Order: sequence, then structure tokens, then C-alpha cells
Amino acid sequence: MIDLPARTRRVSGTRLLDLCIERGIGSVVDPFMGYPTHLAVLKRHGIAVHGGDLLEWFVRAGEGLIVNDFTVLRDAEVAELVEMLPGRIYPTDLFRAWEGVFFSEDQCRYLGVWHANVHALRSDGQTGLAIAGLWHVLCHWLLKSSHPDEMLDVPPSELAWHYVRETDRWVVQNGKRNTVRRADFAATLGAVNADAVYLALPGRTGARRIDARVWMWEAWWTGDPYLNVERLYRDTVFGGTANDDGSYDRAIADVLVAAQQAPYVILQASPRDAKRFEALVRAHRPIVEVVTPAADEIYVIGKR
Amino acid sequence: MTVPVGADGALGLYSAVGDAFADRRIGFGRRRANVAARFARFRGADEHAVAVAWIAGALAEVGLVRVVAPHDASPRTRALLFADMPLHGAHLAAAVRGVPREAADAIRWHREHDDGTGVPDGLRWDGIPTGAAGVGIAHAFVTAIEDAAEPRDPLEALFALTADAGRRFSLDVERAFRAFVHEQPDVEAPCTVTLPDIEDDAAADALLVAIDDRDERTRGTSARLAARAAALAERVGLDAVRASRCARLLTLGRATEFAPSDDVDPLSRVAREQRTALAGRAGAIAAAVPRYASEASALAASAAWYEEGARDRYGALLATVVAAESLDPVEAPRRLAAAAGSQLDPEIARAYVAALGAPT
Repeated sequence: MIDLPARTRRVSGTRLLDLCIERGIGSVVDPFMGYPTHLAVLKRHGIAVHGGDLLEWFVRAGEGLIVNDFTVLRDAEVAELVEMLPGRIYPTDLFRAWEGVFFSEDQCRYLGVWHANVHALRSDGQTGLAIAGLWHVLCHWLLKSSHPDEMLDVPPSELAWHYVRETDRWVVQNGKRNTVRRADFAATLGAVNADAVYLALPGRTGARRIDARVWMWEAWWTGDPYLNVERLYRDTVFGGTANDDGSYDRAIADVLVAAQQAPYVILQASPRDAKRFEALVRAHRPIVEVVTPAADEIYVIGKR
Repeated sequence: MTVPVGADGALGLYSAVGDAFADRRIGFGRRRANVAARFARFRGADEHAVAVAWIAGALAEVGLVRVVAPHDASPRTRALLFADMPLHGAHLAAAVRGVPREAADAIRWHREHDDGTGVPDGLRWDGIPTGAAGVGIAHAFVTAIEDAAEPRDPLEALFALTADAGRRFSLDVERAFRAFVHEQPDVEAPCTVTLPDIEDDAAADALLVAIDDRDERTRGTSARLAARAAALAERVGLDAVRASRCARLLTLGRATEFAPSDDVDPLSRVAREQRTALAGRAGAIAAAVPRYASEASALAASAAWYEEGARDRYGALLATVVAAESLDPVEAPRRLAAAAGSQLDPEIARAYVAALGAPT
């Protein structure tokens, strides 16, 4: 049985929005964006947003949710996406390696079909929305495999339809240029100027503790069920040597140096790390403020 | 249901206004609060967390006050605007002195779904605070029970929720809620919660100002009406404080998504029909909150015409100041004097005209 930890950081777009409005921040860049709903919230409220990540599916999802201002998947397009189209040859055994381990035979077949259908979409916006929507199906299936009797049985195409349609409401324009890129933090921060850099930093052993649902979706998108995403992080400053406090702090310092141009840096911290992060930010910013809207949610805000 | 201490004032008013905007039966918010608080206690929360659950349950939909969708908004535009309802509610709650910040956060995130498809943030899994998840499932439960199209008993409502296990609600929360309802199926069971001290008048005023601010044309109306009513009450020997309070509370009549505009002739029949609906709604909301219930009759009477037997003096006073507020200032003395004895109480209308320095 796959381990599905519920642990996830609360990255709240509306909380960030409150912080931005209070400080007159009009643009934000997040070099470790992950699944970018928080940036979508900021975008919806008129803030220009830029994101970067090393995982391609996060970036693709960002192209649907962040960069894309208009394109949605219409009903007919969703229908073509979620089902096998007559006359097309599908790689139905592409994810056979997962069969019986994580998914049923039928589910593996659908993963292959969707992989082909999503890759055949003709716009980055639609591709991003489809990836974002179908990821929820993967999460649903994995959860259901752990708790088969507590969740409804929903046919794969119906479930996919539901979740892909859900992504529609994130598509909105804000009259600004919003970007995402597949790059490490230095490339992302070097490529865009923004009023604030938002940092929800990877954990010390982020590469090894990456959620199964996240790496599996990267594997699905690349069509390689054996994909190992650890290699993506190994050569970054948060790679293998960031396990001890000193290395991890040096990695954070590197990020803060790269973020030097932005008037604000907003670093989200847990109660455990808050003091250390505050000291690190103080070393790079003359004015530092610690905002604690909730006991488990701390923002260390440095101003240039 | 035992009304928790402290809920009789501004919190009750916020809750009732949320119900009115959401087009629910007044009292829905209190029932949701009751279920949320009992569920929190069932899960072993301390008294502070139980109070937080009650407040968040009561105020969950008050954010609708700040959601203003144009008449011709597309379903997508409406969905985007309504996605911010919890955020607005959190801001309104956080501005009330005495409301714990955890309650504001529970309001902010009570519409989040465990699978990440909720609003406003798309939080998922344990990114959603436990308190907010509890309010969210309590909301869904009471909604299922009070569904006008298909009313359900608690166990049927629970069955409706199980379809969303693992999607809208986490399996843990759904499991706990199922155990809670099986153990305590009576939705109306008493629940006593010790709420923090709230500055009722300041909080109520802030809410009324927020309702005024929904429409540019009504911005500042409640304060102007209150000033007029207080001055007029002194002239005719009524309690100025009560008159002022009633005038402010008239704003509650606009606690609906599409309130009619006040720019028609206030002494016409069309305006009277509109005023009757507004006054009735204001009276109904006030009647639901013990602290303001004594003003309900005056609010409801404020739309009645004198010639048809309206004799509530505070209601008559409100009718006069509402008419004066809407009339052209140049025309007002003549029109009010002409309406004295027909639409308006003659003594009060003449006192108002006299105060303007016009001949009566």
C-alpha cells in the first residue's frame, strides 16, 4: 500500500494577498511554486505573478492556471480528452508497471489514454488545465486504493470530466503579464523583476520526502513510470548536502542573495524554523518584520 | 436551541445578515454554528476552540455582504466573485473586536475541499485547518437538512455527505462527523458556548456600513438617516437614541443580492412596494436577534402609509426621514408638507418641515 501522508504546507493565496495589499506589492515571483493555486489567487486579484519550478508538470499546470488568460476546455474538448477516441492507437500499456501496485488494470489503461490525449492538445493553456485537472483523479484513485469502502466508485472518465471542468474557474485575466518557467531559483529570480519574492522553501530532505502523488504525476507526464525525480534536486543548493542546519542555511542564504533585487522578500516559516529564518533574512535585509496570522503560519518579511 | 451567551447581539446580526444574503431561512447560521460547536466538542476540542467553531459557523456566509455581482454577470463571473465570499467574511469577522483570529481563519477556509478544489485558496489535505473543515461539514450537513427541494432528516443528510468523502471532506472528518451524528442526531440539541465579549454596537455599525457600501448610491445612507432620525426624534418627543438605532437598522432591508434602488419617487406607490419589501426584511432580521428584536415592529411599520392606519410613531418617523433622504432637497419641504396626513404622519412630517425652516 502506498503511503499517502496528508502533510502539506498551507500555502494560502489569500493570506499572501493580504500581505501584498498591506504593503502595496503589485507583483510576486515564487521560484519554488509547486502546484500554483496560490499564484492563481493572486492573479485573480490583479497581482502580476511569476513562478518557477523544477518539476515540469507544475510548470505545465502553471501555463494553464497562471499564464493562460482566456483558454478553457469546452465540453466537447473535455469529452475527447477523457475517453479513448475511435481510430486512434493508444499506448495503453505505458503505465503497466504501476498495475497491481498502485492502480487497477483499467486505471492504468486510462492513464495511458489520457497521457496520449493531453499530449495531443494544441495549446499550452489547455494542456496545463488538463494536467491540473487529471492530477486530482490520480490523487483520488490513490486515496481510494487505501480506503476502498469509504469512497464512492466513480467511473474514470466521469471523474476526469468532473475534475477537468473544475479547472475552468481558475482561468482569469488580470491585465498583467504572468509567467512560469522550468528553472531553478536563480534562473527564475534572474529572469523577472517583481516587487516581492515569495519563498516557501523546500524542506531539508525535500527531494527524498517528495509526495508520491507529485512524483507520480511527473512520471505520468513524461511517460516514464520509473522516473526518479530525486535527480532533479540533487544538483541544486537544496540537494543532498542540505541535511544539516549549516548546509540548509547556506542554501537559504543563496536564495536570499538571488532575491536581492526585489524590494520585499516574504519567507514562509513553520514555528520550528521561524527564529532561524528570521536571523537569515536579517543578514540580507535591513528591515525585517515577522507576521504570525496563525500559530502554524509565520511569514518573515524582509524589506530592502 | 439554547442561545449561547453573547450571541444575542452583533454576532447574531452578522449571522442573520449572512442568511439573508444567502437566501436562507433566517436562523440557518445559528443552526450551523450549533452543529459546528457540538461537533468540535465531540472531537475533544477545548472551550476556546468550541467558541471559535460557533462563531465561524454563525458568520460563515456574512462575506456575501461584500460580493457584488452585476445583474448581467455570466455564471463564470459570478463563480469567480463568489469564490471570494469566505475571504470577505474572514475580513469582516477579523474587524470585529473580540472575535478570535482562529474564527476568522475558519471562516476563510470553511469552503476548502480536501481534494484541493475548494475556494478561496484551493488548499488541500491537512493544509485545511481542522476547525475550518468542521465548519465546512457542518454547513453541508445543515444545508442538506434544510434543502427546500428535498428536506432530509439528519441520517439522510449524513448519507448525502458520504458521497463527498475523500473529495469535499477528508475521510477523517467525514468519519468523525458520521460518529457524531449517530451519537447526537438531534440537530436542535442545546449547546451552551461561552463567547468572548464583543463590542456589539461598533460591530453592528461596521456591518451596516458594509451593506451601504454595496451600492455607490447608498454609501453613507445609514449614518445620514440616523442623524436625521435623531434630530427629528428630539423635536417630536421620541427617544433620539432609539430612533437613530432604528434608522441605522433600516439598512438591513438591503441585505439581499439585488436590492432595489432608492431612486424612485419615495412617495409613489412603486416606492411603497419596494419599501414594504425592504422594511419587512429589515424587521425579520432584527426580530431574529434578541438585542434588536424590540425594533422589529418599527422597522416593519416604516413602509406603511399614514392614511392606511399606520400608527407606530417610530415607524412614522422612519418613513419621514427615508422620504426626506430620497427627495430632491429643494423639493423636499413642499413634497413632505403635501404628504403629511396621507403618506406620512402629519405631526412628524410637519415637525421635519419646520426644522428645515419652511412654512408648514
